[in-house]
Amino acid sequence: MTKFLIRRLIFGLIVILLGMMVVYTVIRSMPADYVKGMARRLVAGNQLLKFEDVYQQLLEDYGLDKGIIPGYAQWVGNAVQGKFGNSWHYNMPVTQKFSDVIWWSVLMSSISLILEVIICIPLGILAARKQYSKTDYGVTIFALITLSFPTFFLAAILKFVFALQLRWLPLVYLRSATHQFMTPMGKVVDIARHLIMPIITLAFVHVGALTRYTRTNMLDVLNTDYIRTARAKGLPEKVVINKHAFRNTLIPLVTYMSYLLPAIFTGAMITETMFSIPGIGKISFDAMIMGDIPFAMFYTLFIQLLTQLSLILADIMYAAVDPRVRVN
Amino acid sequence: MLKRKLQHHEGEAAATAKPEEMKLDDARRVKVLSPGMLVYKRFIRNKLAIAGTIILVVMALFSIFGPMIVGYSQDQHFRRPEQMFMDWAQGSENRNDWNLYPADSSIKVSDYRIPLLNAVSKEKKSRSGLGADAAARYELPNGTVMQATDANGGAVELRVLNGVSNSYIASGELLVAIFEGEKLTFVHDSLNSPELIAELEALNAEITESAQVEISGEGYRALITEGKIRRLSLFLPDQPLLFMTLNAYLPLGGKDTAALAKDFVFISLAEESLAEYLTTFTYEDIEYTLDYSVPDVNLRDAVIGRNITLASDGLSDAAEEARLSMMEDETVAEFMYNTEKFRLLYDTEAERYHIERMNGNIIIPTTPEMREAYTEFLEGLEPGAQSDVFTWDGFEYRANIGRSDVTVLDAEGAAVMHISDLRFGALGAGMTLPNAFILQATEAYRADLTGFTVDMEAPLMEPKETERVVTDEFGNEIIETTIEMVAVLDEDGNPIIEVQEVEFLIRFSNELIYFQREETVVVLAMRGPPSKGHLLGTDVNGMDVLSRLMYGGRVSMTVGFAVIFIELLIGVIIGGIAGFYGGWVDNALMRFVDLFNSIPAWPMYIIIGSVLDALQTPATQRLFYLMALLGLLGWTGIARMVRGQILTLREQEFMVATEATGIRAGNRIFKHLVPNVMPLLIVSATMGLGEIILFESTLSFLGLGVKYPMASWGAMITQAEQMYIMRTCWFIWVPAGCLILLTVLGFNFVGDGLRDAFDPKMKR
Repeated sequence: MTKFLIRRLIFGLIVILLGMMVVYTVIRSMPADYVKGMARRLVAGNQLLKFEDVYQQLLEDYGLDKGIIPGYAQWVGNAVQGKFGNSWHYNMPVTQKFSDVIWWSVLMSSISLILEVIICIPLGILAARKQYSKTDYGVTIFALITLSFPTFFLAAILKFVFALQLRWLPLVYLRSATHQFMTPMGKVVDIARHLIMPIITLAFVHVGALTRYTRTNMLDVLNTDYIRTARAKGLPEKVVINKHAFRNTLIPLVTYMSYLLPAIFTGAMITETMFSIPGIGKISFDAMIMGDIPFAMFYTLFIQLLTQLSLILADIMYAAVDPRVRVN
Repeated sequence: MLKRKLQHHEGEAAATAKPEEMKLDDARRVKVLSPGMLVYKRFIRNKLAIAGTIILVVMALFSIFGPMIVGYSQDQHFRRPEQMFMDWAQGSENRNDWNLYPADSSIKVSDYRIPLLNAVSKEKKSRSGLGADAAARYELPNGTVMQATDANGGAVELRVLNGVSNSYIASGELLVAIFEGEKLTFVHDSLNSPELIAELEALNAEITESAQVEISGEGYRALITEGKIRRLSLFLPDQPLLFMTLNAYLPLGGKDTAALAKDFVFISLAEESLAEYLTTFTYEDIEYTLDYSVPDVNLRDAVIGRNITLASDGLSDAAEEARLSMMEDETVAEFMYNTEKFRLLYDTEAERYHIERMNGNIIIPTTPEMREAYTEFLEGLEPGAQSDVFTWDGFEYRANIGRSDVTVLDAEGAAVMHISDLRFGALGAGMTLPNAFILQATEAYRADLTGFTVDMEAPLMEPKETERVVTDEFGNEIIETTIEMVAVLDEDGNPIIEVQEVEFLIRFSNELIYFQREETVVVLAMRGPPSKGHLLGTDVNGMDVLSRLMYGGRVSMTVGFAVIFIELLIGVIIGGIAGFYGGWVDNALMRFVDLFNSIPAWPMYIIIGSVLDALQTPATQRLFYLMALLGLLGWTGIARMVRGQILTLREQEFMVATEATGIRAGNRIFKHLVPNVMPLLIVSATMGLGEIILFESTLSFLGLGVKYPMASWGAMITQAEQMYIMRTCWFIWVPAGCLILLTVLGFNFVGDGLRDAFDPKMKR
């Protein structure tokens, strides 16, 4: 087991390194105007600095004066020591900005994940049990519709209906204008009200996939011999489903949900942008559009790390949940 | 014999046998269909799949043939005539602008203009330091010394010190004659008569030494310089030398009154009377009455602490609307009125709201009753009063009263002249402003209105559709249908002129007053509601929404199919080779696949999108790059799946058979394996198409995908991010989103149906 883990980790690291190089190469093709603009800004505030010196210094700091490979090597060297530099767009250390904003995304994604699980798994099981009935039909249509809905359109419709026409929920941002004057309880309720629509948007789009996956797996399980045996034994249907079928459905489901781990942290770029919630999705989107190399590199590194981790986690979970795999 | 009997029996049996009577195990009972037919039959049994197919067919027809039916091109701009208020005339308060009237043609006005203007501007600048006693003194080139004091209403009074004179009137010396010795070398025109010259020569003989001599009671003064030149000048305290006026004079009658407007004596008399709020003066035996009709009142609000003006009815209505649509905790709202932006501020303490112009002027909303009360208040102002208080609704406004506009009436009461300190100028070349306009404009300005109407003559115009060829930003020549306003001609070809009631608006900018006239301007038909020519209206750039939806459909479908093609190409090749050869080839290729997998898709799209933005690639090239990128980052799923499928198929007996019979590797892959992978591929491709359309529309929504002027459904929804569009122009964004939803749904339905059709194991 340990040997397997170590091998996977090493392999994961190699993949990350190569992947980051691809990203770095692409980012370097951005024109250097951003650095010039930064240098200009730094010089404008300080009489003692000369533009040329500052510009050269910035280039050296971020390895932009070298070629692509040496520049990348420099970044890797710095990264290993934990030095990720200052974000150009946000003027603070990358790691600090990151940790400032990531928790909102985690909160939103976790709640939406819980919502999804609560809705999808029972729905999928229901559809599988009543295959080809109207319920199954309805659930399938519902799942396919949610799969096909573009996120931004959903967000726009929600905003239009609930915020503009009905005025039940606030339109954008995390807090309302009078937030600081509220009681602590009021503050919590305020933030909760602002988060309702984003979380619905986030959950809505994934509901379809999860429901279908659950339904498919449940169908597979229900067609197996051991379930037929259980029924033949005369067990009540409830016990057959909840005790036998359900547990076996969980195996692929749990591994599937491990793949969702990176998604929690990458945040939902679109949703956060539409609702102006300062989560990691929106912040990193803004940074990447503006050509903020340090931030973009750190963010993609983070995602890759998480992806590899989630793959390893999926393997481990698979082994943990299914005793047959452990033996092998 | 027996044979014949048997044959006869058979024939009879055959003739009488019923066709349905077959043996139960007759092979003809089972309908054998080819696998393709089987799939097809299962597919059409699935209602969702049929629905999906119908949707897709409709979409395809809509996108491909729609534009030919509707007839607009993708980036065709539409225009419509719209009533807009455009700057037409300009006004300014004349407090700084001095008109100088020389009493004499020999006096050069330019000598006096600059010192005077300097005096006034210095005066205005150092206003705060000036009390009643402290005053600035200025000396003119001719020796006149003037003292500037602060008058009320913001005017500067220049009083001539060395002589008795009125404000605004400078008296001084009039050069009469120059003698060189005994010879007269110069004499003033008005004294150029033999008797007067004889008098002057006699005067000259009397003067014996250099001095400033007062020769007679009438104030002759001789300035005698050294040498032979002797200057004789008149010092005439009552004779004005220069007359300066702050007011603009608008003659209201015929030629005579126009001449009056240039007569400085008349003007000086009028100015004097104005300054002292007299009501009559006499000039050349005609008694003129001064009618102080429209006072210049500066309202000041104690609560807000600033000078305010009253809003016109239209502005009050717009403000009320904006106020009603404010959210409960909002205190600021912005709204537009007649192409000008205003800001509504709600004062929670005072529980009322006021409007702010973007240049900071405060306007308070009014009701008709308030305007009536205010008009009454204005009419009841005492001429000569300096301030008063106007109360309304419990709020007090302090009114500072300046000088007013005045109409000069002659003895019969006919209006002769209009005097105000507003100066008007037309903004069009060669245009003269009609008197009616000037009068109405002055009244409206004084009454703090933001609009007024004038009956004016204007040519009748009508919109006419014309076509012209323009080159767009890519160098293509496109035919643009546009609308121009042309004058309506009568039978002789002359434009028809009629008297119309023209509406004007007043706006301020940099201390200048602009009068805007409602004109018919041809503008881009932006955000037009659904109409006959545009079934779904026009978007923010004046383009037809329905056509853009169709072209957007073309783009989406093209991108979808192209990307899927790329993905299938790369995926099948790599997955096929990996699955077929196995071993180290498989390992190496799968690591390669993992590498591609680990590249985070969305950050890459965004980064490459911004790189393309920075490099400013043209729109069509971007599309190609976009398709290549989507394909290159998406083939891994297909490769994995193909490899997995081939790995399973490889172990099946039919593959062993192909190997045993010695079929070449290439044939084995493409003739035996791949056809068995096809079902899975088709299903993945169909579902993948839906996903790619979603990707592309999301990228276009973020501004990174298909760019203007190419149409894309996602890009059309970007416009909805503006609050105004989302609220009022649903036709711009809702159809686009629904179309994305329907198309992807169609692909998903079909893919799902195909999956069910190909894999009968899912059925009972």
